[in-house]
Amino acid sequence: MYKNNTDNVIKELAKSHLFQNKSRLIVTIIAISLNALLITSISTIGFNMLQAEKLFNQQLLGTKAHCEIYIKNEEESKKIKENKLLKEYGEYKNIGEVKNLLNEDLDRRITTLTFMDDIVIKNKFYNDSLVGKLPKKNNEILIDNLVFDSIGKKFKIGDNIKIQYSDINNKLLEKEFKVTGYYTGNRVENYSDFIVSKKFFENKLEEFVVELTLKNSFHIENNVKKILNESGLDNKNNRYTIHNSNDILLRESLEVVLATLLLVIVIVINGYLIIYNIFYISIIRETRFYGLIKTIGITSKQIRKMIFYESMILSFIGISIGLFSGLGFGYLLFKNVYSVNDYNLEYFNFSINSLMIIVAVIFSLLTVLISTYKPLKIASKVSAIEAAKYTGNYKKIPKKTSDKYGCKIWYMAYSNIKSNKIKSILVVVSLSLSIIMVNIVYSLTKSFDIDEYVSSKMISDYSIGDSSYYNHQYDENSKNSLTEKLCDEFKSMDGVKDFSKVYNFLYYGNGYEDLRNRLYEGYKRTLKEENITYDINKSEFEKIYIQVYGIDNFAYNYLLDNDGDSEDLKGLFNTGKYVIAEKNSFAGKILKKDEIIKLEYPNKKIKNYKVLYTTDNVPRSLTRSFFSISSLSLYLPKDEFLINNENANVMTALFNVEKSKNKYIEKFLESKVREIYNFDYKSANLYKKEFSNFKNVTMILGYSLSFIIGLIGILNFINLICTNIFSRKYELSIMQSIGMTKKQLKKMLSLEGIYHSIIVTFFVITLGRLISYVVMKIFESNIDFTFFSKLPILGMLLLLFLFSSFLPKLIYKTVEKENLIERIKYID
Amino acid sequence: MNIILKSLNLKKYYKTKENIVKAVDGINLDIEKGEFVSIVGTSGSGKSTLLHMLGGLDIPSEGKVFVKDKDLSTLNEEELTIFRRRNIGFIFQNYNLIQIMDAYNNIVLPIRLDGIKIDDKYINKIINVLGIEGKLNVMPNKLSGGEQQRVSIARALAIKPSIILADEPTGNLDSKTSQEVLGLIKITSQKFHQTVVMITHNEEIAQLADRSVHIEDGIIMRG
Repeated sequence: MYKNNTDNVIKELAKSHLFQNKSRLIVTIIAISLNALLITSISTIGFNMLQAEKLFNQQLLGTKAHCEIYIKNEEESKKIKENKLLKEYGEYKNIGEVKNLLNEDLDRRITTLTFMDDIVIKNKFYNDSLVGKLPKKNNEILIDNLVFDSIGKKFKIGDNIKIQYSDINNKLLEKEFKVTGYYTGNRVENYSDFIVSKKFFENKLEEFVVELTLKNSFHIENNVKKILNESGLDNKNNRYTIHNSNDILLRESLEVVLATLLLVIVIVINGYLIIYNIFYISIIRETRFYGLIKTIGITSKQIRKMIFYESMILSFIGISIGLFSGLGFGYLLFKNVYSVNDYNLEYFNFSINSLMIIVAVIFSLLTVLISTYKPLKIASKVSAIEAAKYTGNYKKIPKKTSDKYGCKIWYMAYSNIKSNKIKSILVVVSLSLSIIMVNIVYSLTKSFDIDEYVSSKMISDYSIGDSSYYNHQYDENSKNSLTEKLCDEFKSMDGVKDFSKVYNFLYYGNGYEDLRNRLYEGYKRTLKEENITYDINKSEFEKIYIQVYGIDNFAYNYLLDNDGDSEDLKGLFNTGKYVIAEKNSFAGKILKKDEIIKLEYPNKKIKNYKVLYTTDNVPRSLTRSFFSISSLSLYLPKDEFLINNENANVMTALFNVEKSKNKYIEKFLESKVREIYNFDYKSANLYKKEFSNFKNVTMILGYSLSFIIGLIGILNFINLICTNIFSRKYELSIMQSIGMTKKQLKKMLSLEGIYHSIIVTFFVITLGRLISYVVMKIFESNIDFTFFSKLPILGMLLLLFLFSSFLPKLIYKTVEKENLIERIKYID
Repeated sequence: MNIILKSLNLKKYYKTKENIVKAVDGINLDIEKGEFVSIVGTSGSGKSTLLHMLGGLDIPSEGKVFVKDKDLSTLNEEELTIFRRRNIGFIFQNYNLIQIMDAYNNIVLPIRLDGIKIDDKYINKIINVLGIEGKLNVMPNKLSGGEQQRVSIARALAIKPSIILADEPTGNLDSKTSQEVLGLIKITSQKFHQTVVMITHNEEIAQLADRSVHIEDGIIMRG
């Protein structure tokens, strides 16, 4: 009863104390919510990146399940099903390969007649796009839309479909099914499932697979062995396969986890510095208040309780605001970051996990708790006499200053900085760092050249090709979705110009002894020049990969010789007697001008060509992303290439589009992607969008981090000036009473600020240049970094000087207004 | 004799680099229950330091203070605060009201901090005697100096302390208000049988007390 009574009065005191000082209230809430916002958004992004990574892995594996076990009969599966370690249990069995329903374009897509239960269907992501129902009866079937689309025939739910399939013994069987539904399979994979129910086997299932998801997603393998043991099954003969486990995921995503953790820790430290400062300043300023309530009989414990209660109210408001805005901010940032990456996460939903929210709240709260810990102690230790003392004899003797400069204002300011070394260092470091960071971010984003970026990826507005080309798995001998017919269709479209086809074949050349030697020597020379101690083996150059490309005049313009007269050379090139060689990225120029090189076409036809020149930097659009250390790329005119290699596939086609038709073409391409199996395209617009997203993310992250660090610097600076004023209030009054004018006093405080700015300037100019140089060197390897600006440095320094000379005056003014009576009493 | 407040060889020394300042230098003092004592001295005589030590706000360099036979030096900080809250009422020169609470809540705050039920009858009686019935819901900064000091007297009395320590209670007031406030301290102390120790530099004010103790340079000169 008593306890409750005192708790209530403490709460009341806390509330009225808190809401009395509105500006402190607002500043603290802003700081806490900013901190919570950053923590929430970072953990949201980290969590979702892990989820996306997980989903991406699962998509690659084709299942969400942890493992598969091969089962002989249902007696075995029954034992497994009852195991307590299981979270989910599913069954499937491949029946055979579907032989009919396929057209030529599809012969690379293997379609299997399979039994799957609902769990397996879910694990394979099929229910994400499911329309209709799952099969129940023995003649019902669920089909893959991808097959469905490309055979040019439409099956509706309820239609009958006749399926020919070969069983394990390669016996061809036939059965008629009724379609109960369809789904869209995995475009990345080259197989589809036609799914039937368990009734297909008349409920007698033998030799099948169970897919398991375990309750614990760590130590999967050990647990699977345990399950097998407990079920009395042997684990010989590769009885199980482990798909997916958090162990692996965590190992692979360790970077994400560590980066998230590191960022959160940095944010907590930042938050600590800010929130600690606010509490510290307010408590130092209110020493008298705490002393006063102590004379009335509040105990240290009750003061601690009061401030704790205040910090909890502030945390509740601040963290609530920060949490919601952080989730939103995290979502936006995540979307931008991921659109830059190459993940194709069609079915990924940004998710908010309760654990993630709890973690964010805990870290945000932790920041407040550690930030208030020391101020809380200071407040509870304020002696009651502090309040009582104000009534009379204050006997502190001012510190003696040096006689020589003692009364010089500039020297007083200087000794103030000297006596607060640690705080001054903190101010200087955070302000310098903030300025350096702003400059780096500014220079970095300015030097992001969108045209250069796009042209490094694309030489035309659009490129079209088979998806295998974009997956770096192009095979000129396989079926290709980019046919000559399709090229003609695009070429004839209104608004399409500069339509240019690129052909290619690749062979593993025997002979070429001289070339292989030159490559080997080239490698050795470069290794030596770069001081790399790698012992390269000549056997690695036993054969040579020759990549032969056929191009037209549009593409030729991107393979120019730096020294030669391009028009003359172009004429020579088009005679068909010459090849252009690509400089080997490591071994350098291998082929000499006018040298004769022998090429072997796929139809075994052999022809000799003269080397026109060797070119540098072939654009990515004109290569097939094939890398081997012994490889040579050669470019022939398209006509010459096709005369000798009549049935060549088009590797890719490039074209530009009139601006007004851009939207229409983009829409058309999208419809073609849906319509034609394995057809894909890339556009300069897409890269432009990606690039500006990347630039925006860099800017948001960079500037907000600089802002926060700068804020810490400014707060520390305010703190420094405040404590200077408060701790030397008596000294200042004495100085005033002995004739130091207010103007001189303010001048002294301003000088302190200016001294700080001078030190910051020194650091920014010396150390800052070094840091900028190092950071830029790091970025240079990834991005062409050409721009370095001094403008932001100058601007920020100017601002800093203005700020540091005016702020102390402003602080002094506030102090003076608030404590006029007290100050007079001091002098009394 | 019923001694309620006693000091034994009480000393307070401040050490500086150059010398030792003896603010209070061996004071022995006995104060009886119900007595109104004034401690008189010039500025810097050590009277405030003495009062702070008597009230348990300041710790003596040497010597002991007994309040109701309790040796204050045996209490830790927490116990001392609670003891002070229950046994000693303070009246300060600058009133020391809590600015974030209205007059009534200032008066009852020590009681509430102790978790005791408020004796409304008694509180109302104090309020009536001090004539601040109409000011109870007013915030301190809206009150005049005299009114603030009345509220602070009410706060000192509210907990029914053993002793009231008043530190220059009229130091910030004009002479007419000073007379009123001093009268009120005297009346209330009689009415509620309170022991009052008041420090002042003013001989005239000191005369209002039952007994005056004069100190100079930290030593009792007479009384």
